[in-house]
Amino acid sequence: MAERNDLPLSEDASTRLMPWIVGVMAYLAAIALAAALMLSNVAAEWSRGLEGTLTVQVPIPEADTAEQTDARIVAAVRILLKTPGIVSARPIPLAEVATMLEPWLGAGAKMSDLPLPRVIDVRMEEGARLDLTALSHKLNETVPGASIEDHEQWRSTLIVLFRSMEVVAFIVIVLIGTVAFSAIVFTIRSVLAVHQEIVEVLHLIGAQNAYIAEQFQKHAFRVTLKGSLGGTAFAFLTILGILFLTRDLEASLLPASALAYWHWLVLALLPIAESYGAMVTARITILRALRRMF
Amino acid sequence: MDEETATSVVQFENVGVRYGTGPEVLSDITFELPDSSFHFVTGPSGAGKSSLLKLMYLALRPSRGLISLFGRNAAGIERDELPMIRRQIGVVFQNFRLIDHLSTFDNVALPLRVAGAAESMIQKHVGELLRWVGLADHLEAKPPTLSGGQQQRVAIARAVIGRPRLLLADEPTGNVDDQIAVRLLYLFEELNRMGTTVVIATHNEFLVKRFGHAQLHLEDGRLHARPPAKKTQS
Repeated sequence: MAERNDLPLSEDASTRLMPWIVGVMAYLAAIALAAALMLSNVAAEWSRGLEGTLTVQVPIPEADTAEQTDARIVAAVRILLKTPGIVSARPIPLAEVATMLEPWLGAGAKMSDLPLPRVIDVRMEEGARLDLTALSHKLNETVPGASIEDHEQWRSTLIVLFRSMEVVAFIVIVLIGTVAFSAIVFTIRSVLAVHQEIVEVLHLIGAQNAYIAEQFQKHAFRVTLKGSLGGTAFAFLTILGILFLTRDLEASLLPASALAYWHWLVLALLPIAESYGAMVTARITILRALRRMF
Repeated sequence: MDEETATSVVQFENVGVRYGTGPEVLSDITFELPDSSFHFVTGPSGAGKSSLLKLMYLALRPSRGLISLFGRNAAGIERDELPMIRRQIGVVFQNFRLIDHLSTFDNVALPLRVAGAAESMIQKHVGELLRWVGLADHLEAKPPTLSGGQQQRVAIARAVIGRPRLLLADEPTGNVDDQIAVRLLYLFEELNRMGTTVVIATHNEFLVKRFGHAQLHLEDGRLHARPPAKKTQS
């Protein structure tokens, strides 16, 4: 049985719909927050994963013999390893390149038939700043046509994409919050108007505004908790469903563990935060309205 | 107690009330209610009895004149102080103003609850009082399921449960037969003996005669103080 309340709030038509409205908002808020956290995570992983790496491409003229090709690569690797700040330089074997290109070229494509450049994967010391122009210059003296790709362009574009999606997600959260806030304020005002008689009687028998506010805020807390628990639970199911359906994609495009455990924790705490928010909103609204009324 | 030296609970000086720009419904009202006094407010319907009570429980502000309550100028009472002052005033409203979705018990307990009384104390006193007014079998009943007379007794119980210093009752016996009315008046007299100042608006001539307390007689918005009616024998 519901707790005794001096105002028949749970019987009101205007408040009976509230758990559902709150539920929908809580659902949207949880989804938006999860999206924001995930995007922020992905952007961070991208920049972390690509930072400190360079790719050096060594073009191989068609006339090259296998020995000449190897010599070119060895020369390039030697120059790279001699450069301060570079930790490792690993020529990527053709077989590995073939695997990487498989989705585009199909299995079993003959690599030797293609004028593919050879690729050297370079790792730098953490925080090392290399003079890429000078390095490129030096490489070209020995290995003509060698080029350096520091991923900066591609990385910054991706990060801009993720960050802007993240900002949109946060704007959505703020909008949901604003709508929820207004919904509470207007519901409270209408409920107060409906129950003006009871509020007046409470005043006449010596109730303080705080006592009356407590009746409303208790109700607001309970209703919001009910609605937001439901909405957030559905949001969890949705997110888990999406993660399940995209589990294959995740490996290649999205960095693993798109949501850390503390992200899940934040999402799980949403209903409590929302309920307290609703309670405080209700209290402030009611106290202001009562001060205006009497 | 000597009425000359007793402190006055309510004091009116040249009080006038008008609603909006209409004529005055109460004019030049001047009187004083000493501590522990018992008064009837009598007069025909529309003479201003309800307005006079409303002034006393601070639901209505006079358009002129001075009202003192418990020795304080009512005009100087801050809004934040109202609850504490109203807890010393018990009111039986003409139309009861019970809270329909609360049980009889919870309605009567309300003044104690808003004052933050302990639940054990509430259980004890409310049950006791409801037994006294003959509603022991209706503790869980909601007001709309009660008869007019039963509702009236709930309203009275709610007004007296907090042992107010001032009890104001607007036609508290309008819906009960004379036998119950007498019983309720005994309850008011009992409270009065314990120090509560009682003011009862009524046009039940039988009760006024039978209990013979001082009268504030209103006619056309003016006050005519009357000496206590001669008590009739029961």
